[in-house]
Amino acid sequence: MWCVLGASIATVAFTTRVWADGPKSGARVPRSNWEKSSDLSGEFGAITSLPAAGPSNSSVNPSRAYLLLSRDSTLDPSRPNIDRDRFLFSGAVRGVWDADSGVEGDIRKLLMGYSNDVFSWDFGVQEIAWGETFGTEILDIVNPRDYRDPLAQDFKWKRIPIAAISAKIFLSRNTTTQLIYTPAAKASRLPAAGSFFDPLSGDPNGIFVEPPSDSPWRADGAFSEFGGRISHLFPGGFDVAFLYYNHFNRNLIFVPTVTGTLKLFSDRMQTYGFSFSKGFDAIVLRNDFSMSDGEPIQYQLTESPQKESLLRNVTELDISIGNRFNLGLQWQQDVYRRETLNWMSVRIERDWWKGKLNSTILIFRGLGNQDFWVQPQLAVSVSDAARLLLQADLVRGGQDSQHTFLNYWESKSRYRFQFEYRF
Amino acid sequence: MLSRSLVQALTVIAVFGLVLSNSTGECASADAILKSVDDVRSPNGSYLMKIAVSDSTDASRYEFETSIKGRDKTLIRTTLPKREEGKTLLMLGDDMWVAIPGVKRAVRVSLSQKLVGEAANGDLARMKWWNDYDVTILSETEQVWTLGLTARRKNLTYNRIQLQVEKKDTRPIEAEFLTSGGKVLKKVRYRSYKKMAGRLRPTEMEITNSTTGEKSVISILSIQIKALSDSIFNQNNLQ
Repeated sequence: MWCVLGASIATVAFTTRVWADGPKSGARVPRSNWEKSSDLSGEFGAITSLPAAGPSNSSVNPSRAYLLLSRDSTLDPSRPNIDRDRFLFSGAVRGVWDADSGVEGDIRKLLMGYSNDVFSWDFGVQEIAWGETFGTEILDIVNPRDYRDPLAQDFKWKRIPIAAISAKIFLSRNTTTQLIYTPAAKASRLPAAGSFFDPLSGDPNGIFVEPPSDSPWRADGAFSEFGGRISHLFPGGFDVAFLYYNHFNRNLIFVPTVTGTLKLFSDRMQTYGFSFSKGFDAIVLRNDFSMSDGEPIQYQLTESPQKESLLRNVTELDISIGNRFNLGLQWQQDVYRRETLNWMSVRIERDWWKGKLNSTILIFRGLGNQDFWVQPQLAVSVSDAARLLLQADLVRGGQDSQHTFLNYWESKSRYRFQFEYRF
Repeated sequence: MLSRSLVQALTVIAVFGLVLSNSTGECASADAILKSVDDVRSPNGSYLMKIAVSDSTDASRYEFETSIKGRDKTLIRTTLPKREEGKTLLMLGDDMWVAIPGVKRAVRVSLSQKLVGEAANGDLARMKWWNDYDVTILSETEQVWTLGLTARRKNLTYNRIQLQVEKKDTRPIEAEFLTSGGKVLKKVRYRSYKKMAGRLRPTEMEITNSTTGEKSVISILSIQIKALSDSIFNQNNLQ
């Protein structure tokens, strides 16, 4: 931890010194010569859902209206001796009205950053994504998860931003190292009790799960998360990365409290990962592999969590056929001590009318388990700025294992309508 | 005896040298023309270029900010239409990634994906032909050379190109992009020469699909010579 924190701070300190030193030629560059750019953009939208199947005594997946405002500013000091460096100031806030949770606001991004040819750093609230494949994103472990809509594909509803220092060092033209330090871990978000996606809504005893709370900051770093990633692009386009992250578990484990309710169990664990991708003209091969050490696991909801080492692998093949047709094939395998689970998925995507209409169908099927999820989607561009999405999530899960992907969302099928406008 | 051998040797060297100089002379000439055409089309080094693409069958206007460094690093950021704003395409040699706002990471994509309308990614990303193609002079008139370009390797946007070049100032006039079998895929007309980044350059490329007849026009709105950091062309830095 101290190595990661130390290296991150050293990078920031070095930058500060470079900035403070100014041009070695002696003459400071007049501020009028600095190149500045600033971009304000935003998005508002509304999402509503109708249940197609699922618990009849709960409200449907929360309808939402949201407004997202973001501003990115860059400053290029145009200094003669420290060429090609720039500063970044970036922020994004989101206001959400949610039928289950009411009105809330969150900071999606609040960043100060610096980059040049040798290194870059970002300090503040941010999202950091690793890995190559889509779907379960097994290497997307830096940010906690938002489970309030567990079937959402859009990352702004899946990922929770964290306050962190991220430092990148460009060791060579093709080799990049990234170090990350998060002083206090954030908790994943759960659906509101009794809502459509409440993971225990099917429980006849109506067990209440307490909303998880974020960890406090402590000087000894007890609740910190840290790690790094090194990647290399080989000649021929073979892109390989290795990573390590010391963090709290992101999976859903529930334990009883003294008051008779349940709470989300959280414990420290480590993840080692490996990913690669390679393009072959019209085909792209992607792979993510992770080995977790000390991941808390629960084979039954009534069992106490036990720590295990797990292996997960996702292999994905994307094939572009013609200009507007894409076929994705994916195989995922999770190896637990007591069981091995497999899934296959197929994703077919096609653009119509010069990309104004996009149709996608995702079929996700458990092999040897009962998970089955079909997600057809139509996205219509109604103008240059507005888009309408019609989507169905037809889910037939199985509780044949606590670790199937759809275990907690069994039979929670819905139709989803979304309107979004960008400005 | 010695003098006879010497004469024979000198004759062989002279004949070989003549053949060599002839062949390299033609190649160098065609090569030099192509290099000069590249210099007309776009600057060398690193620069920023704003581009608009309009399509005959699409009312939407697409605009891109393109950062180019050397021959093999290109970053294309979509600025219009709003629904696609921020979508960024990175090409490093023959490898391509796309970053979509919200995903927060670069996603490896195949080279054959189209950017917009009839414009392939390579039409915007690859502004240089020299060194990527073997070139010969197919024919010439008093004013025009017709060059034949054949791809030196796989993964280039086009296998073959037939290019008409004005002799006077090596301006490209028209290009036909062909399959390796010789079928014409697209025709491109280079027009609206204006002074940008220090010299006259074509600021419009009209691309016609030879099968459907549909047209797209790539317009260069501005070019700014600028030192660009290698770090912006790093797939791990795309967000």
